[in-house]
Parts: sequence; structure tokens; C-alpha cells
Amino acid sequence: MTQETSGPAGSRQTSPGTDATNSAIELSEIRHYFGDLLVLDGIDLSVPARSRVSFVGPSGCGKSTLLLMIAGLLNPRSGTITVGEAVEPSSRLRRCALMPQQDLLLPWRTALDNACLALENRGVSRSAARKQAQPLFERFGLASFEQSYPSQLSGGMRQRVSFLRTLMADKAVFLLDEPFGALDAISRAAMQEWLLSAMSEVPKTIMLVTHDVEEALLLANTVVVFSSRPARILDVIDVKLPARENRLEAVSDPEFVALKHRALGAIR
Amino acid sequence: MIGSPATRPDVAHSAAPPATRRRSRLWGFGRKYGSAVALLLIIVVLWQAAVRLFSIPDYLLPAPTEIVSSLGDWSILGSATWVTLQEVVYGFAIALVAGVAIAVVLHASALLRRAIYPLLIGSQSVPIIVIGPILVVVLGYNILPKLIIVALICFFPIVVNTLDGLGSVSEDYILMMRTLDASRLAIFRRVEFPACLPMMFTGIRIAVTYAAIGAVVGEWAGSTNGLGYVMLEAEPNLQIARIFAVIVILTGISVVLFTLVSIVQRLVIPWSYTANSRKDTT
Repeated sequence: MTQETSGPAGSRQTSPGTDATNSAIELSEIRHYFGDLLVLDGIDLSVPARSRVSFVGPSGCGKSTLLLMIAGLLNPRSGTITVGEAVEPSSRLRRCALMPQQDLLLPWRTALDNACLALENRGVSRSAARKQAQPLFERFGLASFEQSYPSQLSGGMRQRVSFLRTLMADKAVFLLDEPFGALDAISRAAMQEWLLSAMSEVPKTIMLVTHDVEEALLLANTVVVFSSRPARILDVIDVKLPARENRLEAVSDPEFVALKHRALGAIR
Repeated sequence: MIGSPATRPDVAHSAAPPATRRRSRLWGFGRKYGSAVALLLIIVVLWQAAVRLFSIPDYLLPAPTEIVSSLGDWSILGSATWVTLQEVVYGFAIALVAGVAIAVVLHASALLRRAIYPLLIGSQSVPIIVIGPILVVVLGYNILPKLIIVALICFFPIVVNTLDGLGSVSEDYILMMRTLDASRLAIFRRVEFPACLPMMFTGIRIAVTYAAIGAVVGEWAGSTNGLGYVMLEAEPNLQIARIFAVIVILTGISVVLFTLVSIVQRLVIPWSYTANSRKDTT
């Protein structure tokens, strides 16, 4: 059962397929086991380039595992994953950047130098990398925190630096694994608003894993609902809601609430 | 104390801030080491009293005052200290370079780790005292056998701690670096090596306190100068105070080296102190 996510969901994307760095993602018949335990039970999904998809499902259902597989960090027992034209794990890895659940900032590097990691890994000198990363700090609300060490930043700030670090990798596909899972509810809400505006500046295919249905609906234009383990796709929801002033208005919209009920109903 | 207004009224009035700063630094120093110094003083005083009270002869247990006056024989102790200090510093430097290099190689190759690590652990049960004379026979009465013995004693804690530190990096960091296009070498340089530094320094601090013992053991195996040699000479002549004086100097060398390593550690990895500032072992 191939789930198509085209149509009105793609209203914010430029026509898929004509993109030079094609970042469409195809999952077909993905099956995976941990030992003898079936965790992914035949996942089929096709994601057009430059769309924004969130995976929602109960904790431990295997959605993060799926993200690692798309990134090329893990290979499924069976099935194929295609990112653009890339099928091999190593070539998928070249097209995907992953923002992990914990910020995983290096404590001995300043915020700015943490953001420079991807460029330095590619052989860019540190001073040149800093020049490229610097303007992003201004743009993403981190100005004047460039020289701070991670231990001096709040959890939300560290996640922003982590986002910048992933962004600096400049990949066609941006994978976020429960990016705000470690934050409290209040900074989480603030970070969702921040991420929403940050993502609108990043024309990439974005996939986001969360166990929070509200977060999934708020941040993506397609929500894929997974069952508990072994994970199967229960529903694919196109989110086409009018733009709202702020998060509170968006989540109290009756249509939003209806979609939330639909997703929660599917999981139950 | 030194900068107190009572003894230096001129300074206290015109330059209050530096004086108070100096005083607070002294206060901090006193709070940190005061109890250790006080305990040492108590032991020394009791020691002196016991020797006088029970009229213990010099050749059994010299009084602290005897030891201090024996420290004045600088014509003998000076050159011996210089010889031993060189053995300690060079031997330790060899252990540091070799220890870190071995740890890096063992970390990089699982095959070599499986092959070599058990042998390294086994090597620690070989008594160095036995190896010493053999090394002297092979290499002669020069500095070489001493360097090898110091290095043999010191390298092991450096290898073990560095290797543990390199392996302590969580898999999540490695995956994160791989999605940021890091090669194996880049992961080592930018994540694993910096992450292992706190543990590496723990190993270095343990090792540096062994170095002086290693030098003395090396000198006992065969030498013509050095603090271990002075001890060997003093013993048949019942110059026990001189032996204690040598112990005082060896302790001084260890304390100074340990302090130097701690200072270097603070300069190299300041982030490890901001992260866990409760750890105050230096």
C-alpha cells in the first residue's frame, strides 16, 4: 500500500521532480527486526521533494529507527530506501543531515565552533567556517551567543545551536529526531514556534519524528501516523490549515483539533 | 597575615583592593591546603617529641630536625637530585608519548586491542625490581636503564585511562558526526580525542606520582649517582637521616610534578572544570 502525499499538501513546495538536487524519498516494503523482534512491518511511503513530513506514533514504535535508516546510518533487514537517486546507505548519508534528540553539542567547542563542525569535516578551515556560520546566528535568534560554551546555554538554546549545526551541513534532506523531546513544555512550545519560522527559510525535504501529535500537526504539512510496535502506517494526514498568528491560535483552530482527534483515534 | 593592615598600615590605606585581593587569595590557598599542612605539622611535632621523649637512636629513627640538617648536605644531594630529576622527567616523557600512542593504536584496531591488551595487563605483574639488573647488564651504568624502568612503571595508567576515555564517547556522537560528513579521522580528532582528555589526565596524574619511585628502583639496579644511589651509600653507614632527607626530596619532586600536571590540565581542558566544577581533586 503505497501512500501518496501529493496534492494540496504540496502547496508550499515548488513543483517536485524538477528540482536539481532531487530530495524525494521513497520507502518500499521496509521490514526490520531487533533480534527476533519485528519492529518495522512493511513500511511503504513516498515523500515528494521539499515537503515537510512528521512521523508520529507511540514511544518506542520504531519511528526513530526508520529515521536512522533513511539517513543511511542503519540498514533495514529487507526493503529499499531511495533518497533522490541514492539507494546505498553511504550515498544516502551524503544527502541527509540528522538533528538528534539530545543536542550532542561538544562541550569543548563554543556554540559557533559547534555549528562549524560539518564544514570543518569537509576540510574548510575553521576561520572560513566561522565566517559562514556567523550570519546564521543572527538570523536564527542566537546573536551574541556565538562564543558561549554549551554548558552556559539553556536547553532550548542548545537545540537551536544543534539545528544550526545540522543546517550548516547543507544537505538536501533534513531529519529531526524528537528535537524537543528533552525540553519542558514551555520551552518546547517556544521552540516549536521558532522551528516553524526557521523551517520556512529552509527549502529542504524535512522529516520530523515526534510522539506529540500536536507538534506533528503544527510543524508538518503531512503527518504519518504509526502504530505501536511492530510499526505499521495507520494513517497519512494532509495538513492544510490557514497560516496563524501564533501557536496558540493554530492549536485551538477547530480544524486543527479535528485532525488531532483523527490522529489520536488512529493510534488508539 | 602578610598583607594585613596591622603590620602594613601604609599599604592597607592606599591600596586596599590589591591587598584584599591578595589576602583573599591567601585565604583561599589556606582553606584548600591548610588542613593538609596542619596535619603534616602535627605529625612532625609528635615525631620530634617521640624521638626526644623515648631517646630513640638516630640510626633507628632520626628526629625531623636531624633530617632537616641532613638536607643541608647539598654538595651530595644537589647533584644527585639533578640526576634523578632528569631520569624522572625524561622517563615520564617517554611513558607519556608511548602510552598515548599505544592507546590510540589499540583504540583504532579491535584486532590489536584483543591481541595486545591482555599482554599489557599481564606485563604489570612482572616485578620491575627483577628487570632492573637485567637492563643494567644489557645497557650499562648509564641513564638508559633508568629511563626504561620509569617509562615501564608510568605508561600503564596512561594507556588504560586514555583507552577508556577514547572508548567512552557515546555512539550517538559518532552517528551525529557521520551525518556531518566526518571521516574516521575527523571523528577521532574532533570528538574522541578531546573527549578522552579528562581521563587521560587522570592517568597522567597517577603516572607522574610513580615516576620518582621508578627512578630510584632503576638506580638501585646499578648506578653511580642519583638519589637512589645516595640512599644505597647511606644505608651501610647508618646515615638514616640522609635516607629520610632523600625521601623528602623525592616527595617534593612528586608533588611539584603533580601540581604542574594539574596546572597544565586546567589550561588544556578548562571546559571539563566548568562542566563538573564539583570535582576539585587538585
